[in-house]
Amino acid sequence: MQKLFLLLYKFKTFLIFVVLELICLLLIVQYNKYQSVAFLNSSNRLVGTIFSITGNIEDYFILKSKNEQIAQDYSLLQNKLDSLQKINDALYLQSQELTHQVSTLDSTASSKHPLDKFLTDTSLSFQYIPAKVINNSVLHERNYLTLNKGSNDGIDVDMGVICADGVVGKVIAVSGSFATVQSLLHLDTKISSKLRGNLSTTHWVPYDVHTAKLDGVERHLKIRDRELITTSGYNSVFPEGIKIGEVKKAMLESDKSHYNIDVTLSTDFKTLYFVYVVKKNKKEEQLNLEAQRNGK
Amino acid sequence: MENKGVLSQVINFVLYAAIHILVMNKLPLYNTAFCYIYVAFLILLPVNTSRTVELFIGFGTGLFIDIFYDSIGINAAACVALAFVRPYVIQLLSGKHSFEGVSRISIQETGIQWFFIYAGSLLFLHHLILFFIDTSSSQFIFSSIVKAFFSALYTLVTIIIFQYLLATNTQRR
Repeated sequence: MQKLFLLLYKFKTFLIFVVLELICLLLIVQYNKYQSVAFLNSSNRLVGTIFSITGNIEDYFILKSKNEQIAQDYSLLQNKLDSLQKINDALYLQSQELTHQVSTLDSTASSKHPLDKFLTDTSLSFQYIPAKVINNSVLHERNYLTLNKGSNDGIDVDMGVICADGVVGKVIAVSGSFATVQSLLHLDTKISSKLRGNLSTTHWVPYDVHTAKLDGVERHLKIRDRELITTSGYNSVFPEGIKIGEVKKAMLESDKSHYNIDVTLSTDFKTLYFVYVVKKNKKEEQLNLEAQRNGK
Repeated sequence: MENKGVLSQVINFVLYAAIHILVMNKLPLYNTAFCYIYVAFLILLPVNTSRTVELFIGFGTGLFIDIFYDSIGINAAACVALAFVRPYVIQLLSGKHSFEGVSRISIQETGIQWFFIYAGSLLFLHHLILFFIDTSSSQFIFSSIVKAFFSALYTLVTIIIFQYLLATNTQRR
Protein backbone atom coordinates (compact mmCIF):
# COMPACT_ATOMS: atom_id res chain seq x y z
CA MET A 1 0.00 0.00 0.00
CA GLN A 2 2.77 2.36 0.93
CA LYS A 3 4.51 1.53 -2.31
CA LEU A 4 1.37 2.42 -4.19
CA PHE A 5 1.23 5.81 -2.54
CA LEU A 6 4.90 6.35 -3.26
CA LEU A 7 4.29 5.47 -6.88
CA LEU A 8 1.33 7.84 -7.03
CA TYR A 9 3.44 10.56 -5.45
CA LYS A 10 6.17 10.00 -8.01
CA PHE A 11 3.72 10.55 -10.84
CA LYS A 12 1.71 13.25 -9.09
CA THR A 13 2.42 15.89 -11.75
CA PHE A 14 1.20 13.63 -14.48
CA LEU A 15 -1.86 12.63 -12.47
CA ILE A 16 -2.76 16.24 -11.73
CA PHE A 17 -2.28 17.01 -15.41
CA VAL A 18 -4.67 14.23 -16.41
CA VAL A 19 -7.26 15.20 -13.79
CA LEU A 20 -7.20 18.87 -14.80
CA GLU A 21 -7.54 17.99 -18.49
CA LEU A 22 -10.49 15.73 -17.66
CA ILE A 23 -12.15 18.55 -15.76
CA CYS A 24 -11.64 20.79 -18.80
CA LEU A 25 -13.14 18.22 -21.15
CA LEU A 26 -16.07 17.73 -18.80
CA LEU A 27 -16.66 21.49 -18.76
CA ILE A 28 -16.48 21.66 -22.56
CA VAL A 29 -18.81 18.73 -23.15
CA GLN A 30 -21.30 19.72 -20.47
CA TYR A 31 -21.21 23.44 -21.10
CA ASN A 32 -24.91 23.62 -21.89
CA LYS A 33 -25.68 22.41 -18.40
CA TYR A 34 -23.43 24.97 -16.79
CA GLN A 35 -24.86 27.94 -18.64
CA SER A 36 -27.25 28.48 -15.79
CA VAL A 37 -24.28 28.87 -13.45
CA ALA A 38 -24.05 32.63 -13.58
CA PHE A 39 -20.35 33.06 -12.88
CA LEU A 40 -19.16 30.77 -15.66
CA ASN A 41 -20.26 32.97 -18.54
CA SER A 42 -19.94 36.49 -19.86
CA SER A 43 -23.09 37.78 -18.16
CA ASN A 44 -21.15 37.53 -14.90
CA ARG A 45 -20.88 40.92 -13.21
CA LEU A 46 -17.12 41.38 -13.38
CA VAL A 47 -16.94 40.37 -17.03
CA GLY A 48 -20.00 42.40 -17.92
CA THR A 49 -18.64 45.49 -16.22
CA ILE A 50 -15.29 45.21 -18.01
CA PHE A 51 -17.03 44.72 -21.35
CA SER A 52 -19.36 47.65 -20.78
CA ILE A 53 -16.36 49.89 -19.98
CA THR A 54 -14.53 48.87 -23.15
CA GLY A 55 -17.81 49.19 -25.05
CA ASN A 56 -18.21 52.74 -23.79
CA ILE A 57 -14.73 53.61 -25.05
CA GLU A 58 -15.34 51.96 -28.41
CA ASP A 59 -18.58 53.93 -28.73
CA TYR A 60 -16.64 57.11 -29.43
CA PHE A 61 -15.05 55.59 -32.49
CA ILE A 62 -18.25 54.32 -34.08
CA LEU A 63 -20.83 56.87 -32.94
CA LYS A 64 -21.02 58.63 -36.29
CA SER A 65 -21.74 55.58 -38.41
CA LYS A 66 -24.14 54.23 -35.78
CA ASN A 67 -26.06 57.51 -35.75
CA GLU A 68 -26.45 57.35 -39.50
CA GLN A 69 -27.65 53.78 -39.24
CA ILE A 70 -30.17 54.67 -36.57
CA ALA A 71 -31.48 57.58 -38.65
CA GLN A 72 -31.92 55.18 -41.54
CA ASP A 73 -33.69 52.60 -39.38
CA TYR A 74 -35.91 55.34 -38.02
CA SER A 75 -36.99 56.58 -41.43
CA LEU A 76 -37.68 53.00 -42.47
CA LEU A 77 -39.85 52.44 -39.41
CA GLN A 78 -41.60 55.77 -39.92
CA ASN A 79 -42.50 54.76 -43.48
CA LYS A 80 -43.78 51.42 -42.27
CA LEU A 81 -45.78 53.11 -39.53
CA ASP A 82 -47.36 55.52 -42.00
CA SER A 83 -48.46 52.77 -44.34
CA LEU A 84 -49.75 50.67 -41.44
CA GLN A 85 -51.63 53.68 -40.08
CA LYS A 86 -53.34 54.16 -43.43
CA ILE A 87 -54.35 50.49 -43.61
CA ASN A 88 -55.48 50.61 -40.01
CA ASP A 89 -57.63 53.71 -40.59
CA ALA A 90 -59.21 52.16 -43.64
CA LEU A 91 -59.98 48.94 -41.75
CA TYR A 92 -61.39 50.83 -38.81
CA LEU A 93 -63.73 52.85 -41.02
CA GLN A 94 -64.80 49.73 -42.83
CA SER A 95 -65.54 47.84 -39.64
CA GLN A 96 -67.40 50.82 -38.22
CA GLU A 97 -69.59 50.82 -41.29
CA LEU A 98 -70.16 47.09 -40.93
CA THR A 99 -71.08 47.30 -37.23
CA HIS A 100 -73.44 50.10 -38.06
CA GLN A 101 -75.09 47.90 -40.66
CA VAL A 102 -75.25 44.99 -38.24
CA SER A 103 -76.69 47.07 -35.43
CA THR A 104 -79.43 48.39 -37.67
CA LEU A 105 -80.25 44.80 -38.59
CA ASP A 106 -79.99 43.41 -35.07
CA SER A 107 -80.85 45.72 -32.25
CA THR A 108 -79.53 43.34 -29.61
CA ALA A 109 -75.95 43.48 -30.85
CA SER A 110 -73.62 45.03 -28.35
CA SER A 111 -72.75 48.62 -28.89
CA LYS A 112 -69.14 47.89 -28.18
CA HIS A 113 -66.87 48.22 -31.16
CA PRO A 114 -65.55 44.78 -32.24
CA LEU A 115 -62.05 46.13 -32.84
CA ASP A 116 -61.85 47.45 -29.29
CA LYS A 117 -61.32 43.91 -28.18
CA PHE A 118 -58.10 43.68 -30.18
CA LEU A 119 -56.93 47.09 -29.12
CA THR A 120 -57.08 46.18 -25.44
CA ASP A 121 -56.20 42.50 -25.74
CA THR A 122 -52.57 42.08 -24.77
CA SER A 123 -52.54 38.30 -24.73
CA LEU A 124 -50.37 38.06 -27.83
CA SER A 125 -48.48 41.28 -27.60
CA PHE A 126 -44.71 41.47 -27.72
CA GLN A 127 -42.60 43.82 -25.74
CA TYR A 128 -39.26 44.89 -27.16
CA ILE A 129 -36.47 45.70 -24.70
CA PRO A 130 -33.69 47.69 -26.37
CA ALA A 131 -30.14 46.69 -25.43
CA LYS A 132 -26.60 47.41 -26.53
CA VAL A 133 -24.13 44.73 -27.61
CA ILE A 134 -21.02 45.08 -25.45
CA ASN A 135 -19.22 41.95 -26.61
CA ASN A 136 -19.56 40.06 -29.83
CA SER A 137 -17.79 37.23 -31.62
CA VAL A 138 -18.31 35.90 -35.13
CA LEU A 139 -15.13 33.96 -35.84
CA HIS A 140 -15.75 30.82 -33.79
CA GLU A 141 -17.99 27.81 -34.26
CA ARG A 142 -19.99 28.80 -31.23
CA ASN A 143 -20.50 32.52 -31.09
CA TYR A 144 -22.00 34.49 -28.23
CA LEU A 145 -22.95 38.09 -27.56
CA THR A 146 -23.07 39.96 -24.28
CA LEU A 147 -25.78 42.60 -23.78
CA ASN A 148 -25.80 45.49 -21.32
CA LYS A 149 -29.27 44.66 -19.96
CA GLY A 150 -30.21 41.85 -17.60
CA SER A 151 -32.94 40.48 -15.40
CA ASN A 152 -33.40 43.91 -13.78
CA ASP A 153 -34.70 45.13 -17.13
CA GLY A 154 -37.06 42.18 -17.54
CA ILE A 155 -34.79 39.97 -19.64
CA ASP A 156 -34.98 36.26 -19.00
CA VAL A 157 -33.46 33.06 -20.35
CA ASP A 158 -34.89 31.78 -23.68
CA MET A 159 -36.05 35.16 -24.94
CA GLY A 160 -35.41 35.93 -28.59
CA VAL A 161 -33.07 38.72 -29.69
CA ILE A 162 -33.59 40.63 -32.93
CA CYS A 163 -32.23 43.78 -34.54
CA ALA A 164 -33.62 46.16 -37.13
CA ASP A 165 -32.36 43.92 -39.95
CA GLY A 166 -33.46 40.54 -38.64
CA VAL A 167 -32.93 37.69 -36.20
CA VAL A 168 -29.88 37.75 -33.88
CA GLY A 169 -30.17 34.89 -31.37
CA LYS A 170 -31.50 33.66 -28.06
CA VAL A 171 -30.73 34.61 -24.45
CA ILE A 172 -29.06 31.69 -22.67
CA ALA A 173 -27.86 33.22 -19.41
CA VAL A 174 -28.75 36.32 -17.49
CA SER A 175 -27.49 38.20 -14.44
CA GLY A 176 -28.79 41.36 -12.79
CA SER A 177 -27.59 43.77 -15.45
CA PHE A 178 -26.06 41.64 -18.22
CA ALA A 179 -27.20 38.89 -20.54
CA THR A 180 -25.39 36.29 -22.63
CA VAL A 181 -26.91 35.56 -26.03
CA GLN A 182 -26.34 32.49 -28.16
CA SER A 183 -25.92 33.95 -31.62
CA LEU A 184 -27.58 32.57 -34.74
CA LEU A 185 -23.96 31.88 -35.70
CA HIS A 186 -23.73 28.91 -33.34
CA LEU A 187 -23.64 25.21 -34.17
CA ASP A 188 -26.55 24.41 -31.86
CA THR A 189 -28.89 27.22 -32.92
CA LYS A 190 -31.94 26.14 -34.87
CA ILE A 191 -34.65 28.63 -35.81
CA SER A 192 -38.12 27.63 -36.91
CA SER A 193 -38.64 29.51 -40.17
CA LYS A 194 -41.06 29.99 -42.98
CA LEU A 195 -40.45 30.14 -46.70
CA ARG A 196 -43.62 31.24 -48.48
CA GLY A 197 -45.72 29.60 -45.77
CA ASN A 198 -43.72 26.36 -45.67
CA LEU A 199 -42.32 25.41 -42.31
CA SER A 200 -38.56 24.84 -42.25
CA THR A 201 -35.52 25.19 -40.02
CA THR A 202 -32.60 27.58 -40.31
CA HIS A 203 -29.21 26.58 -38.92
CA TRP A 204 -25.67 27.83 -39.38
CA VAL A 205 -22.58 26.09 -40.69
CA PRO A 206 -19.19 27.60 -39.78
CA TYR A 207 -17.53 29.92 -40.71
CA ASP A 208 -19.31 32.12 -43.22
CA VAL A 209 -20.80 35.05 -41.32
CA HIS A 210 -23.26 35.91 -44.08
CA THR A 211 -24.67 32.50 -44.96
CA ALA A 212 -26.82 29.87 -43.23
CA LYS A 213 -28.62 26.70 -44.32
CA LEU A 214 -32.35 26.06 -44.57
CA ASP A 215 -33.65 22.53 -43.97
CA GLY A 216 -36.99 20.88 -44.53
CA VAL A 217 -38.26 22.50 -47.72
CA GLU A 218 -39.81 19.73 -49.80
CA ARG A 219 -38.79 19.19 -53.39
CA HIS A 220 -42.17 19.70 -55.02
CA LEU A 221 -41.96 23.43 -54.34
CA LYS A 222 -40.52 25.81 -56.88
CA ILE A 223 -37.92 27.92 -55.12
CA ARG A 224 -36.78 31.15 -56.68
CA ASP A 225 -33.63 33.05 -55.80
CA ARG A 226 -33.94 35.94 -53.36
CA GLU A 227 -37.15 34.64 -51.83
CA LEU A 228 -37.74 35.90 -48.31
CA ILE A 229 -37.30 33.66 -45.25
CA THR A 230 -38.89 34.75 -41.97
CA THR A 231 -39.46 33.33 -38.50
CA SER A 232 -42.51 31.10 -38.22
CA GLY A 233 -43.73 32.21 -34.81
CA TYR A 234 -44.42 28.57 -33.94
CA ASN A 235 -41.97 28.49 -31.10
CA SER A 236 -42.35 31.08 -28.42
CA VAL A 237 -38.92 32.66 -28.89
CA PHE A 238 -39.53 34.93 -31.89
CA PRO A 239 -42.67 36.66 -33.10
CA GLU A 240 -43.94 35.68 -36.53
CA GLY A 241 -42.52 37.32 -39.60
CA ILE A 242 -39.13 38.55 -38.37
CA LYS A 243 -36.75 38.54 -41.31
CA ILE A 244 -34.01 35.88 -41.33
CA GLY A 245 -32.67 36.24 -44.85
CA GLU A 246 -33.11 35.51 -48.54
CA VAL A 247 -32.59 32.39 -50.62
CA LYS A 248 -29.08 32.54 -52.06
CA LYS A 249 -29.02 29.22 -53.86
CA ALA A 250 -31.42 26.27 -53.83
CA MET A 251 -29.90 22.94 -54.77
CA LEU A 252 -31.80 19.74 -55.38
CA GLU A 253 -29.99 16.42 -55.24
CA SER A 254 -31.72 13.62 -57.11
CA ASP A 255 -31.98 11.21 -54.16
CA LYS A 256 -33.11 13.70 -51.51
CA SER A 257 -36.66 14.64 -50.67
CA HIS A 258 -35.65 18.06 -49.43
CA TYR A 259 -33.90 21.05 -50.90
CA ASN A 260 -30.42 22.06 -49.82
CA ILE A 261 -30.83 25.83 -49.52
CA ASP A 262 -28.19 28.48 -48.83
CA VAL A 263 -29.56 31.55 -47.09
CA THR A 264 -28.07 35.03 -47.23
CA LEU A 265 -28.57 36.31 -43.68
CA SER A 266 -30.13 39.76 -43.45
CA THR A 267 -28.42 40.59 -40.14
CA ASP A 268 -24.83 41.81 -40.35
CA PHE A 269 -23.39 40.15 -37.24
CA LYS A 270 -20.06 41.92 -37.56
CA THR A 271 -21.55 45.36 -36.98
CA LEU A 272 -24.28 44.54 -34.46
CA TYR A 273 -24.83 47.39 -32.03
CA PHE A 274 -28.45 47.93 -30.99
CA VAL A 275 -30.59 44.85 -30.52
CA TYR A 276 -34.06 44.21 -29.11
CA VAL A 277 -34.92 41.44 -26.70
CA VAL A 278 -38.36 40.05 -27.44
CA LYS A 279 -40.56 39.54 -24.42
CA LYS A 280 -43.74 37.65 -25.17
CA ASN A 281 -46.29 38.47 -22.54
CA LYS A 282 -48.18 35.21 -22.45
CA LYS A 283 -45.25 32.97 -23.19
CA GLU A 284 -45.53 30.97 -19.98
CA GLU A 285 -49.11 30.15 -20.73
CA GLN A 286 -48.32 28.90 -24.21
CA LEU A 287 -45.43 26.79 -22.93
CA ASN A 288 -47.54 25.30 -20.14
CA LEU A 289 -50.28 24.46 -22.56
CA GLU A 290 -47.83 22.80 -24.94
CA ALA A 291 -46.22 20.88 -22.09
CA GLN A 292 -49.63 19.70 -20.92
CA ARG A 293 -50.55 18.53 -24.39
CA ASN A 294 -47.23 16.74 -24.77
CA GLY A 295 -47.70 15.12 -21.39
CA LYS A 296 -51.00 13.53 -22.31
CA MET B 1 11.86 37.95 -1.64
CA GLU B 2 9.36 35.14 -2.16
CA ASN B 3 6.42 37.51 -1.74
CA LYS B 4 7.93 40.00 -4.11
CA GLY B 5 8.19 37.27 -6.76
CA VAL B 6 4.55 36.28 -6.33
CA LEU B 7 3.45 39.91 -6.48
CA SER B 8 5.34 40.54 -9.70
CA GLN B 9 3.73 37.42 -11.23
CA VAL B 10 0.28 38.66 -10.20
CA ILE B 11 1.04 41.99 -11.85
CA ASN B 12 2.22 40.12 -14.94
CA PHE B 13 -1.01 38.14 -15.03
CA VAL B 14 -3.24 41.20 -14.70
CA LEU B 15 -1.18 43.05 -17.31
CA TYR B 16 -1.24 40.33 -19.97
CA ALA B 17 -4.86 39.35 -19.30
CA ALA B 18 -5.90 43.00 -19.59
CA ILE B 19 -3.97 43.51 -22.84
CA HIS B 20 -5.56 40.35 -24.20
CA ILE B 21 -9.14 41.13 -23.21
CA LEU B 22 -9.12 44.87 -23.87
CA VAL B 23 -6.99 45.16 -26.99
CA MET B 24 -5.51 42.12 -28.73
CA ASN B 25 -8.67 40.03 -28.76
CA LYS B 26 -10.32 42.65 -30.95
CA LEU B 27 -7.52 42.56 -33.51
CA PRO B 28 -7.63 39.28 -35.45
CA LEU B 29 -5.79 39.39 -38.78
CA TYR B 30 -7.67 38.27 -41.91
CA ASN B 31 -9.90 35.96 -39.82
CA THR B 32 -6.99 33.50 -39.55
CA ALA B 33 -4.46 34.86 -37.09
CA PHE B 34 -5.60 35.45 -33.50
CA CYS B 35 -3.39 36.95 -30.84
CA TYR B 36 -3.58 35.08 -27.52
CA ILE B 37 -1.15 37.32 -25.72
CA TYR B 38 -2.29 36.18 -22.27
CA VAL B 39 -0.26 32.99 -22.87
CA ALA B 40 2.86 35.14 -22.41
CA PHE B 41 2.16 35.07 -18.68
CA LEU B 42 2.47 31.26 -18.62
CA ILE B 43 5.50 31.20 -20.89
CA LEU B 44 7.35 33.76 -18.79
CA LEU B 45 6.74 32.07 -15.41
CA PRO B 46 9.98 31.53 -13.48
CA VAL B 47 11.83 28.35 -14.40
CA ASN B 48 11.90 27.12 -10.82
CA THR B 49 8.12 27.19 -10.37
CA SER B 50 6.87 23.94 -8.84
CA ARG B 51 5.31 21.79 -11.55
CA THR B 52 2.11 21.16 -9.62
CA VAL B 53 1.65 24.85 -8.95
CA GLU B 54 2.32 25.57 -12.60
CA LEU B 55 -0.44 23.19 -13.68
CA PHE B 56 -2.96 24.88 -11.40
CA ILE B 57 -1.83 28.33 -12.54
CA GLY B 58 -2.36 27.21 -16.14
CA PHE B 59 -5.82 25.85 -15.34
CA GLY B 60 -6.85 29.02 -13.52
CA THR B 61 -5.56 31.34 -16.22
CA GLY B 62 -7.30 29.43 -18.98
CA LEU B 63 -10.56 29.29 -17.07
CA PHE B 64 -10.43 33.02 -16.36
CA ILE B 65 -10.04 33.83 -20.06
CA ASP B 66 -12.73 31.28 -20.97
CA ILE B 67 -15.32 33.03 -18.83
CA PHE B 68 -14.94 36.15 -20.95
CA TYR B 69 -15.63 34.39 -24.21
CA ASP B 70 -18.22 31.79 -23.16
CA SER B 71 -15.84 29.02 -24.20
CA ILE B 72 -15.60 27.26 -20.83
CA GLY B 73 -12.82 24.67 -20.73
CA ILE B 74 -11.25 25.30 -24.13
CA ASN B 75 -8.54 27.76 -23.14
CA ALA B 76 -8.13 25.95 -19.82
CA ALA B 77 -7.37 22.63 -21.54
CA ALA B 78 -4.80 24.25 -23.83
CA CYS B 79 -3.15 26.10 -20.92
CA VAL B 80 -2.88 22.99 -18.72
CA ALA B 81 -1.23 21.14 -21.60
CA LEU B 82 1.18 24.04 -22.08
CA ALA B 83 2.02 24.13 -18.37
CA PHE B 84 2.66 20.38 -18.41
CA VAL B 85 4.96 20.45 -21.45
CA ARG B 86 6.86 23.64 -20.62
CA PRO B 87 9.46 22.14 -18.21
CA TYR B 88 10.32 19.45 -20.79
CA VAL B 89 10.76 22.06 -23.51
CA ILE B 90 13.03 24.09 -21.24
CA GLN B 91 15.05 20.97 -20.40
CA LEU B 92 15.33 19.98 -24.04
CA LEU B 93 16.31 23.40 -25.32
CA SER B 94 18.77 24.24 -22.58
CA GLY B 95 20.60 20.92 -22.89
CA LYS B 96 24.15 22.27 -23.24
CA HIS B 97 24.20 25.60 -21.46
CA SER B 98 22.28 24.98 -18.29
CA PHE B 99 19.79 27.44 -16.90
CA GLU B 100 20.50 26.93 -13.25
CA GLY B 101 21.59 30.50 -12.81
CA VAL B 102 18.69 31.88 -14.78
CA SER B 103 15.35 31.92 -13.01
CA ARG B 104 13.69 34.48 -15.21
CA ILE B 105 12.87 33.83 -18.83
CA SER B 106 13.22 36.90 -21.02
CA ILE B 107 14.88 37.81 -24.29
CA GLN B 108 17.60 39.68 -22.40
CA GLU B 109 18.49 36.58 -20.38
CA THR B 110 18.19 33.88 -23.00
CA GLY B 111 18.87 35.59 -26.30
CA ILE B 112 16.33 36.07 -29.06
CA GLN B 113 17.05 32.85 -30.93
CA TRP B 114 16.45 30.64 -27.91
CA PHE B 115 13.37 32.61 -26.96
CA PHE B 116 11.99 32.41 -30.50
CA ILE B 117 12.22 28.61 -30.60
CA TYR B 118 11.05 28.16 -27.00
CA ALA B 119 8.04 30.49 -27.16
CA GLY B 120 7.25 29.56 -30.76
CA SER B 121 6.98 25.83 -30.08
CA LEU B 122 4.90 26.31 -26.92
CA LEU B 123 2.58 28.79 -28.61
CA PHE B 124 2.07 26.51 -31.59
CA LEU B 125 1.19 23.64 -29.27
CA HIS B 126 -1.20 25.80 -27.25
CA HIS B 127 -2.94 27.20 -30.34
CA LEU B 128 -3.13 23.80 -32.01
CA ILE B 129 -4.97 22.32 -29.01
CA LEU B 130 -7.16 25.42 -28.79
CA PHE B 131 -8.27 25.33 -32.42
CA PHE B 132 -8.67 21.54 -32.47
CA ILE B 133 -11.04 21.63 -29.52
CA ASP B 134 -12.82 24.72 -30.84
CA THR B 135 -13.59 23.13 -34.21
CA SER B 136 -15.59 20.01 -33.64
CA SER B 137 -16.04 18.94 -37.26
CA SER B 138 -13.21 17.13 -38.99
CA GLN B 139 -13.57 19.03 -42.26
CA PHE B 140 -11.76 21.99 -40.70
CA ILE B 141 -8.64 20.13 -39.48
CA PHE B 142 -6.42 21.65 -42.14
CA SER B 143 -7.80 25.12 -41.58
CA SER B 144 -7.19 24.82 -37.82
CA ILE B 145 -3.56 23.87 -38.40
CA VAL B 146 -3.15 26.89 -40.65
CA LYS B 147 -4.89 29.07 -38.08
CA ALA B 148 -2.70 27.71 -35.27
CA PHE B 149 0.48 28.37 -37.26
CA PHE B 150 -0.32 31.96 -38.18
CA SER B 151 -1.79 32.71 -34.75
CA ALA B 152 1.37 31.40 -33.08
CA LEU B 153 3.47 33.65 -35.32
CA TYR B 154 1.25 36.64 -34.60
CA THR B 155 1.28 36.03 -30.83
CA LEU B 156 5.03 35.43 -30.83
CA VAL B 157 5.78 38.72 -32.59
CA THR B 158 3.47 40.58 -30.21
CA ILE B 159 5.08 38.96 -27.16
CA ILE B 160 8.58 39.86 -28.39
CA ILE B 161 7.49 43.47 -28.98
CA PHE B 162 6.05 43.62 -25.46
CA GLN B 163 9.24 42.06 -24.06
CA TYR B 164 11.30 44.90 -25.50
CA LEU B 165 8.79 47.52 -24.39
CA LEU B 166 8.68 46.25 -20.80
CA ALA B 167 12.41 45.54 -20.62
CA THR B 168 13.35 49.10 -21.50
CA ASN B 169 11.01 50.21 -18.78
CA THR B 170 12.76 48.14 -16.11
CA GLN B 171 16.16 49.26 -17.29
CA ARG B 172 15.19 52.89 -16.96
CA ARG B 173 14.18 52.42 -13.35
